Amino acid sequence: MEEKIAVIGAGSTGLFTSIELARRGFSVSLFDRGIPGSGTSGRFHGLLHCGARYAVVDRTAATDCRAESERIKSIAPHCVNSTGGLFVALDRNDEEYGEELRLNLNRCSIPYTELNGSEAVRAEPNLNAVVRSAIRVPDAVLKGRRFLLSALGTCIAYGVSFHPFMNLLSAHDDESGDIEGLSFENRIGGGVHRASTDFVVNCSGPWIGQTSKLLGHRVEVLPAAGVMSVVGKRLTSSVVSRMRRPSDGDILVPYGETTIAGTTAAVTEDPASFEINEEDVGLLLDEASAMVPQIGRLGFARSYASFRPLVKEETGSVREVTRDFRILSYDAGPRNVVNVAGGKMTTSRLVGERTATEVCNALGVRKPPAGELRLIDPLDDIRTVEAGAGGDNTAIERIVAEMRGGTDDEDTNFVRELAALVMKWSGAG
Amino acid sequence: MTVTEHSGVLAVAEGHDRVLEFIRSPESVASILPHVEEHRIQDGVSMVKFRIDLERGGVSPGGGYISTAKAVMKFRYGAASDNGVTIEGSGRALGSSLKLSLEIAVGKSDGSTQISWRAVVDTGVLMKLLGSETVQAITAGIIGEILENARKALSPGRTTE
Repeated sequence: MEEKIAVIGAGSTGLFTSIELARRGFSVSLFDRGIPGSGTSGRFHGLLHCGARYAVVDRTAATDCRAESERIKSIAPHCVNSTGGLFVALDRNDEEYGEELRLNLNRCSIPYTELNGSEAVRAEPNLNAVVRSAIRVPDAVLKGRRFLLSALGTCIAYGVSFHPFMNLLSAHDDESGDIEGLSFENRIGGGVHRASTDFVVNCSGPWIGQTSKLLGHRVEVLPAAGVMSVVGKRLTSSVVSRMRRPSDGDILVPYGETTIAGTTAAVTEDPASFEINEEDVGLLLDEASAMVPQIGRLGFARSYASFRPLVKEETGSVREVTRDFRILSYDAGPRNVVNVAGGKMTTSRLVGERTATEVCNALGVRKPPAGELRLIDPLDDIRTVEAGAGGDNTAIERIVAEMRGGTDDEDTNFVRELAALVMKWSGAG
Repeated sequence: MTVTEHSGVLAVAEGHDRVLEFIRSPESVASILPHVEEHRIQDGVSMVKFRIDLERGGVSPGGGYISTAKAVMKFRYGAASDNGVTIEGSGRALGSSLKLSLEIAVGKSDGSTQISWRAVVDTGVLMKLLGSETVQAITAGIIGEILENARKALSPGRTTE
């Protein structure tokens, strides 16, 4: 018998959780209030971390990122630009941190090469001429929505049933108090969609708190906003990071024909009412201009924000925890639910794999994954789909509108094609 | 409540007048703030950009994505009394407004100069969201670094006890 698993949230974590569960033979239904990319995962900075950013402060996250970035380059080469990354020292403090960085890159087995100031400027002519030294690492650029679409296509290929625009309304318990069914508001077609299930995985990102309440758990979260700003010109060939402990405003990512400057962190009470503060954008501009002065003259074309849930001290059981992500279950409430909080785009496959293992453990089954994982390249499918052809134009327009304000806004054709494809794959088109 | 109060007394080796001169100087006060990246005085207002160590509070806004955060504060110096000064600060960090009221008085005792200080800190939404324990840990860390820097600046030659 195939156990039925409902995964709520089709961001990168929910997608990879669905893939890993489907590879283990479960019958998986994936629900999202929008589509992949309409939430946090569609609003990242585009950086595929090699782990160098965390090498000094969090070696577990660093080694996870190193392994996972290589894995993504291998399973989804069509989604990656192997640009390399450059950590640049602009002052004596940065250089002092560089010593610590080199030591910990060695400890984490992250390869690097050293450049002096003039070599760094030769490699990246738009760098601030005061650069003293640099360290080259294998950071890369991840094409966000293409990656998410590849993961969704792979879900479909593994037999995952995808349900976009489904807003969770309620959960239905059986006699033992476990969940046996879920009801969703169908935001496109109208009405209520009901699904029976043996197990629920809550991957709803910044909405994990609200979703957990509907599921009978209580995950206390604090939404943290990250603000990123876009320069309308590609100014570097590689990812540029400031050589210092991870802080706000210290990354520049060459993304398509643009440069994305990231990231500030701001706590917020309500993601829905969050507004980007001009002072925070000013901070980003200061920091970005210090690395590439031209940014100060060009300014930002636009800014966008994404939200991460910070989990407050748990009252439940933490099944798997790193500083990067947590898999939470609770003794009070249904036993057939886990909540997955945190994670990065770079480590989302790993989070999915570990979540699938936790689901197997909770159900008391042993199901190794089938075959080798490789993400499909959706480009051929995209080329065959004309926006709106044979589908619901209103729905597609709505998808496109909901995806505004993210990493890939400049690629308007792709967003439209993607929307059409999602409708086709979900059977809603 | 988003407001916390902190106070203490710091004994230093420098003489009364030198200490008074130090605490009334925006440049000197900026020099003892931790991790200062920029300081300038404009229209009588002291503007300081510095970094806050978040690891000290065990908090990682952004899920470990950042371990320090930039703070921008403007300090206005009140009318100096005979033996002290008041400083009003306002600014922003981690998307929250910050306010500071600082009273400093200088006195003498047993051959040393004593700096009595009292700070009222309003961390706004940070306190509400991160919780008082976390904010207290971060604030205490910053105050500890300031006091240590002040001790070094005003007790030259002495080592930490």
